[in-house]
Amino acid sequence: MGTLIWMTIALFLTLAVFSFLFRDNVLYKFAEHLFVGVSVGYTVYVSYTNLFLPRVWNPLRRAIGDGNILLALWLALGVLVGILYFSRFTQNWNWVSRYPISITVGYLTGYSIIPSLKARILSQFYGTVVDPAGDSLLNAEKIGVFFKEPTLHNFFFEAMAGPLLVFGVFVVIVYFFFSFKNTNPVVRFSRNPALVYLMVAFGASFGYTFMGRISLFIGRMNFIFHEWWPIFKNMISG
Amino acid sequence: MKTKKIMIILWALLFCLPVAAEERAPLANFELKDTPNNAGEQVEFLFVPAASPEEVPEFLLHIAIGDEPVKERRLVNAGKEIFLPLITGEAGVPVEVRVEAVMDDGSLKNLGTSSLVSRGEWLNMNSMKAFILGLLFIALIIFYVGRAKKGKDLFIRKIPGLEAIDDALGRATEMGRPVFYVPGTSSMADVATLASLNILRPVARQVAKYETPFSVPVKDPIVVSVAQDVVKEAYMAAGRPDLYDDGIAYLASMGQFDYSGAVSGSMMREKPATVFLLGMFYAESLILAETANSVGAIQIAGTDASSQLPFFIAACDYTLIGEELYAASAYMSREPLLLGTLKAQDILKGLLLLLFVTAIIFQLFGIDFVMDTFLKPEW
Repeated sequence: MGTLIWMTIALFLTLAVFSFLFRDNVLYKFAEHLFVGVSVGYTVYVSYTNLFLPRVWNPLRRAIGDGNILLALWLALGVLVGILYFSRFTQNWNWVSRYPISITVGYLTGYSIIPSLKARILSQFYGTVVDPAGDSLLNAEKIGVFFKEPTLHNFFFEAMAGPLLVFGVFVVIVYFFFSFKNTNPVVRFSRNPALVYLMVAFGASFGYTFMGRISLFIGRMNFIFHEWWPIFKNMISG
Repeated sequence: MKTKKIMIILWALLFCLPVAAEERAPLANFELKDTPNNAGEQVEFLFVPAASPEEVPEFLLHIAIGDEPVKERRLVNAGKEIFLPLITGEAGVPVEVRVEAVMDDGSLKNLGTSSLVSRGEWLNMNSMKAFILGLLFIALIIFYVGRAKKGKDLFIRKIPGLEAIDDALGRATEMGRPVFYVPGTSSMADVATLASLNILRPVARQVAKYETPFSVPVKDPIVVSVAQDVVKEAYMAAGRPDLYDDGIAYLASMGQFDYSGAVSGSMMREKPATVFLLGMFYAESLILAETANSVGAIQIAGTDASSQLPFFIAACDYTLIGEELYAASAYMSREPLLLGTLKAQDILKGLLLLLFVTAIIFQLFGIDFVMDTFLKPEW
């Protein structure tokens, strides 16, 4: 009985959210507010149990208990900086909250410089020319294979994939130069091919994600017809 | 007599030699090594079985890391080299691995012990290329910011989506409906969020000038604080501090889909005439864009999330693609700092493209030197 009650609540909330497709209504508003409220409450609880207790409170108590004053002071300093955020709720002292914000933004921005350069620039350039197995996509010898043995597989995957990829990367990067006028010959030449590459990539991504969303929808329908309905039918048929 | 004795000893040694050699032949070679370029949080155990799987089907490792209890781990002898990373957590932790061979009759034979103390390095040489690239980039930024501050004209080409911002804000004012600005759903660590907050300033200034209702629903608490400051400064710069309210930029919710539910609900009720979706977005992008479209709002979107761009292109009126989002803030504000950064970014892109083309030319002839030396990332 308990299972049926919880599953019926889930069914009701699923249908309430889907009712938005018709128009905004009371059921959707109820589901929305419930979702937001539960989520905020959950986040507060998770922050308390997964962050505050294991990273601040427990280490602080341990450090004080062990007589490790330096560590205790270090942790207390972090707590103090965090507490400065609350100054936003005051009229005269709200400027103090800029200190923890600047520390957070400065730290996160600085910390992400090297990983970003590695992951977003070097890895991307390298991966454009070298395949995951470490072989070059543009080796002239490899391209020559097609001319020796012109089969469909060789044509598409061995000979053309590398050059097409490299050309695409080149024209798309040129498209994102902002220092040149649109009339610049290099920019003008690369503009249309770059847009074709971008749109092909976006189209593929759109289709892929769309199928993912359809699969989520199927998941909810499966829940209604294959999980909730059999239990409900058993219940009413006694 | 003496010669005879020597001969006997030599003969005896000759017969004993194969036996001794057989006993000395190792069943496996193994070594504990300090992982280079880390802070001592990990060491490596390299194990190379020498005996055949028939002779020794398994090996048993007794791993002791610091004060932790000794862990046992069985390695099936597949005749292949095994690399085992062992997590120490920090430098100065003693690690010891004792290896036993499980013989075909089930008996255990001790093969010895390998031990070391985890060690950290001051410099991670794997990041050196990225570090040099970063230094070059910073030098370029300083140079071009200096030029911009001296008043040198730094040209930036027109970005179509930005030309529409004034019209979109004017439309909202004429219709008497609010403007919504969604600065993405990521944190301050994201470049897209920083770029979005830079665009928020001129947009808020314009909104304050037109006295249009304004709403900035945010998902991250730190972004809320920054957004409130940005909007406040913009209202003051527009000479309308009286219109500013802390509730303009507010925390809608902290979860992904409850946030999008809350913002969609607000859009349905307040019916904004203009919606900005600028920043980092994930799966909620289409939900927000479709809702804004359904209430008849003009939408100007922009993100560097390549997986979400298709949805914005399909559902929004104007879309800033990838780096156009970063360029937009410089284009709109004309601030020397942003202009200089954008210019430096272009120069660095040009240099990297040149290096890339050179590496490709070499690669065509099977020479990997340029690619491996300058562009191969080491992790």
